[in-house]
Amino acid sequence: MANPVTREPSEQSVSTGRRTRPHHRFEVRSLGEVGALAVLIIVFFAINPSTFLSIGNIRTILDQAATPLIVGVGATLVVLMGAIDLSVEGVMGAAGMAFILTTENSRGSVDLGPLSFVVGIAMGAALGVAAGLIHTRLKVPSFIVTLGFWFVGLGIATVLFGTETIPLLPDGGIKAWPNETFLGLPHSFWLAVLVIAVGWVVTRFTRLGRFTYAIGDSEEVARSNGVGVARTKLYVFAVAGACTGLAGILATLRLGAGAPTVGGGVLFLTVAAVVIGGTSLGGGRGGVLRTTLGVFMLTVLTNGLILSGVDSSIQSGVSGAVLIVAIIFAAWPHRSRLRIVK
Amino acid sequence: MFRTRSFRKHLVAALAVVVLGVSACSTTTGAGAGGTGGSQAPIANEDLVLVASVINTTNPYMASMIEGAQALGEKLGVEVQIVDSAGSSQTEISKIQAILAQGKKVALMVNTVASSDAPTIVNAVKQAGGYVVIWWNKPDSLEPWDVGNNFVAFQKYSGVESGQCTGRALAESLGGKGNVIGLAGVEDSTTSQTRVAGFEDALKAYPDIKLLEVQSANWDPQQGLSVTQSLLTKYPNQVNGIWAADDAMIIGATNAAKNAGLYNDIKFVSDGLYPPVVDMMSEPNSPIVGETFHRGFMAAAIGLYTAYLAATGEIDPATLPEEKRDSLFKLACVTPTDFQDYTKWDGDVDAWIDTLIENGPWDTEPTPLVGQGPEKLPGT
Amino acid sequence: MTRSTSRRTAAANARPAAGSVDGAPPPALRLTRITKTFGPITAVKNLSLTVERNQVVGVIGENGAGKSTLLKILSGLHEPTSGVMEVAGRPVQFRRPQDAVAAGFGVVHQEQSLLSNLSVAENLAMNALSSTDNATRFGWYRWRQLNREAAETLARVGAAIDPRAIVGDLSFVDRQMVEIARALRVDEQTHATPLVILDEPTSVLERNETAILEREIANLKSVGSVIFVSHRLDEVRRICDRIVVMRHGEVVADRPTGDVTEDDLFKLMIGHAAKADKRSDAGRTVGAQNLVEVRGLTRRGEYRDVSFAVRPGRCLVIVGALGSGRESLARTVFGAEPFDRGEIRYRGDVVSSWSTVRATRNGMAYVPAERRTEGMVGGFSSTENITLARTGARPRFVLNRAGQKKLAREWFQRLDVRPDDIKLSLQRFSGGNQQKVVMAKWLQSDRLRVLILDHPLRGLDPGAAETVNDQIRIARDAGTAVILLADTLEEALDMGDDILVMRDGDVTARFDLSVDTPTTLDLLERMV
Repeated sequence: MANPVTREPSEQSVSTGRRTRPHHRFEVRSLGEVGALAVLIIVFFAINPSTFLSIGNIRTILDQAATPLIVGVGATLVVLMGAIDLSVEGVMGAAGMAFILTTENSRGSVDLGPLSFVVGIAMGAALGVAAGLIHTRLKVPSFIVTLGFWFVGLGIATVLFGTETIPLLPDGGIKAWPNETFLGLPHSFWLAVLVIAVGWVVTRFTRLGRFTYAIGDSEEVARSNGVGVARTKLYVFAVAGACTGLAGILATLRLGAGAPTVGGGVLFLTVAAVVIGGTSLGGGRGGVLRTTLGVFMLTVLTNGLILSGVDSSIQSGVSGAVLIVAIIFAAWPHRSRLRIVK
Repeated sequence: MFRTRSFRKHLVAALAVVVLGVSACSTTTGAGAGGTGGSQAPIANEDLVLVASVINTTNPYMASMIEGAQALGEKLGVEVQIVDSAGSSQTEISKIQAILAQGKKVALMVNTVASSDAPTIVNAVKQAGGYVVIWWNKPDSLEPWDVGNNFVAFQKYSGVESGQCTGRALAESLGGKGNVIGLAGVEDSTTSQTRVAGFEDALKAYPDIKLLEVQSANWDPQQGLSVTQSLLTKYPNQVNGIWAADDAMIIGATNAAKNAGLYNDIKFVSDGLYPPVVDMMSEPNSPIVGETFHRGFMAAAIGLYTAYLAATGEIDPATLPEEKRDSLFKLACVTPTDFQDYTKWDGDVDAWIDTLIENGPWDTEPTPLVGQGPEKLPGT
Repeated sequence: MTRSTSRRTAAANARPAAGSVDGAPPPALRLTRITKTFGPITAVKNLSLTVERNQVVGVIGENGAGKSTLLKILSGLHEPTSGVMEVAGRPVQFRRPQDAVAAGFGVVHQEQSLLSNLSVAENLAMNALSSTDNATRFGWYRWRQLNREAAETLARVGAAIDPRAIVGDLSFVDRQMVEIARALRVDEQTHATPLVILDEPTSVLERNETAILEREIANLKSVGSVIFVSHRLDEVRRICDRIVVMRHGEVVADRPTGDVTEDDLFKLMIGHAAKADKRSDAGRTVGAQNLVEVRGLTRRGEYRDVSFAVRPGRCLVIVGALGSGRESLARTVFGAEPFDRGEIRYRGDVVSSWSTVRATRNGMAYVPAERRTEGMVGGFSSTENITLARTGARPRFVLNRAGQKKLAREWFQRLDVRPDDIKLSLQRFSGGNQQKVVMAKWLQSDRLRVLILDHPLRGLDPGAAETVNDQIRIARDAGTAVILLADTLEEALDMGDDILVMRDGDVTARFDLSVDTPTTLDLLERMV
């Protein structure tokens, strides 16, 4: 059994690297999402030239995007692991109620000052930790656990809400903060930018973030590579809970009133945004910045349809159709990778 | 996922509860009936349960309904059960069926999640021999007299009247001139549709009022906030008045206006006079210029009391005039100057319940019976 | 997860080195009477094995002979039930993978152990000791340093791979090089003499790529010791200093390479001699008409102007190196990829809007190389997998459970699938047995006309490969047209009636084996 190949080993050995594609930080693949967002903006601008890109409306869009953006950072981390967090609406309610009842409000419960923010975020993180513990220790799928915690959160919020009068924030003071501007843009948006920046740094530069990607690719391989899978998952759920808690506080501030349903509609918005942005529900691929694009696509769409005077009875149909077109557009650059669609 | 063993344990426990419940009931059915006469077999208070089914427990209106039901139960000395539908028709129907299966006679007041739930609930109650009054939503074609005595009545406040009342108040406050926007509730809700129709009808009398747009905000304060935000940027410095189909959304709308620094430049009207809105109206020069007053506790107590009277045989639904079986109740139009005449009822629910028991469901101030349903949209 | 109480490393566990009084260094690894049981099953029985320093020891055995269990013990994934393990003369206990790494063991697993969505550099850094790595200390990734260190490590194995490349974008051989580089890296981190354990590293490689790998393994000897697990007997004999043969969880032979022939090894492994003269053209149903014909087929970037024809009862083998376009060509014929020009004829008719559905309906079958992603439903039992493609004549919507089971049992026997449990979920079978089940899925169809096989023997031991080849021959003899992308040129010459040689998308030669007998060298010259 001769082995003629050994005649030219030296040439072959250097050839191995030839086929590898260089790694770009901003991949060509995300151009689709950027393009889809740009098209949406251009179309809406063409329909509403005087209002859509007015500074007032830009502020409106950025303010409306802030809450889902903050939730989206946490949700992206969870989805990157191949898990899912369905509890966000309940957790937002619980965190929002915990916050408003510990700050100055019309019910006059207690006023812990700035500590109330900590209380709200801690409520979110605690619910995240509890969900994470059940998910990792009792091996219950995240889908089930977080579905349960949606209602646990809502239950806590309802109990805190009680049957007394609606707790309202006094005018001025912290209630006005999200809408005040810095460099012309609302504080709520800057808060979201901060969270996104931290989220991006975490996913790019920290072991927690990189392990999140590793777990999403394959839990077994990650484990055999020395990744503390259960611990990482727990941290991620805690971080996601904290993000959701912060979003609950922000939503409460914007509304100026406590309401257990303060997170209504956020779940669909964020999960859709995560997926539209291009983070795979299977885990391992995607990122925080992509979700940002997804949130903006959805927020711009909602805002643009209202501005364009689309009748509200057909808005959901139109927004669904536009979304599908946008997703096809966004997915175009990597269609060749999608050999199997299911 | 679920371990079969613990699942079985739960099943056994659940069965045990049901069996115990049924046997407990059957032991009491022999007790003497203490009704005060009537055509149907009357039912004693101990064998009766008052059930109030509400859409959720977080909305202030629903909380008020629960309060009314409980106050009535206490006055009548009858057990009260609350059904929380959690916003879902499925939950609502299955919980009501579970209560019907417990064996006691049921006098039921349901604020249906959707109109289409009504036939199912009515049939289930009829089969169990209970008595039901439906509040707010039912299909127009489903009339109590077609079903029989078990579907005692359908009751509601006129949505058209609500819209007309607040629409007029808004137009008047603007001096008959200006641009307004409207926030509707869930798109397919008849309550929202009738209120919007009334609102649009009222504006016909004011040719210089321009209705810029009506958008749905799903009865939700957050959406009320963001829709108002978007509309205010769509019509910069043009919006003079905002109408909302109920107070949950006006809370969002007023906050959006506050955030935009426009709160005092815009007039607001809405329906329901919720406590936070009462606070806003109490402020001097309040921009809340018109509201309607009706209360969840009143609706629930009237509905439940009607069902109770039928269950105990004190009234015979078959002999009632049609307006008492498909009824519209009086809705009070209030302004910043007179709203306190109505909010005084909030302070003493028990006293109001006393007047209800004294005068009967159709003659109690401030909300006597005023007309017969089904409600007609203006112009049809 | 491993409990943190077992944080003691092998080194901390060890007593002072014994037995090195005379200056002769103790062996790199000595296993004494290692046994591992899983419930009632004994996977490894009384295994004793010694690996000297700077030695390459080959471990061979059939699928299920206990090789994988042995490797898992050595990599800290399984703790042995009994027996003694010594590293450099010190007894050790591996409770978790980190312990194995700390002892200087680097393992290149048969199944992917790289995270395909991360970069090469990250994968290199991500092992049990990554927390002590400078580039990722305190959980903070210093990418520049990480990439630089990775480039250095890659240079040691002579691989010109961009450390920033995403592993999923790499070819098989490059991934294998990354795995080896990572295994080697243990000495940088532990300052222990590395023992690199390679689990069938060549099973997914093309022949010419294998050569590179063999050279690299030879280089490893100067740095440390190597355990090389393979089933390619020729390869083991070329590379290894000593060969250990396992069968049924036991060591049945442990001999210096010079003392054994390939036939000896085959006999030791299987327990009986290899079949002689596999070639027999008699008794075949060969059709006169071309069943599949391809004319001037072109797909941009893959292959150009390819023409060939296959008759029933004949086997066409397509050979070519990486980038020859033959995989894409095979997928095109099956309707899984589009083409730009040319035509495909099936039973003489030009096919239009060809698709996998139409191909399957017309009795075409495709066994992919990446069976994990394309060829099987891992969570289904093997019964379900086998009967997945069986529609057609049977009632379509009613599943006949009893019939399915009978069918599955029959095929398990014919293909000698182990373990013989038709209800076991497919992903729990070893790679070779998975391949058999995937084959059975197509072979069982009574409407099979064309069988397209993409590297059917990849990852199979010689025994399993023989079984699979036998089944291919049976199908062919019954009148099925076979299109085969062979792993090795020997396989091509063994199985083929016609051979098509491709290079960079062009057909460079055709051989009809009934008139012409090319050598492997003839083929190779036209491939590269």
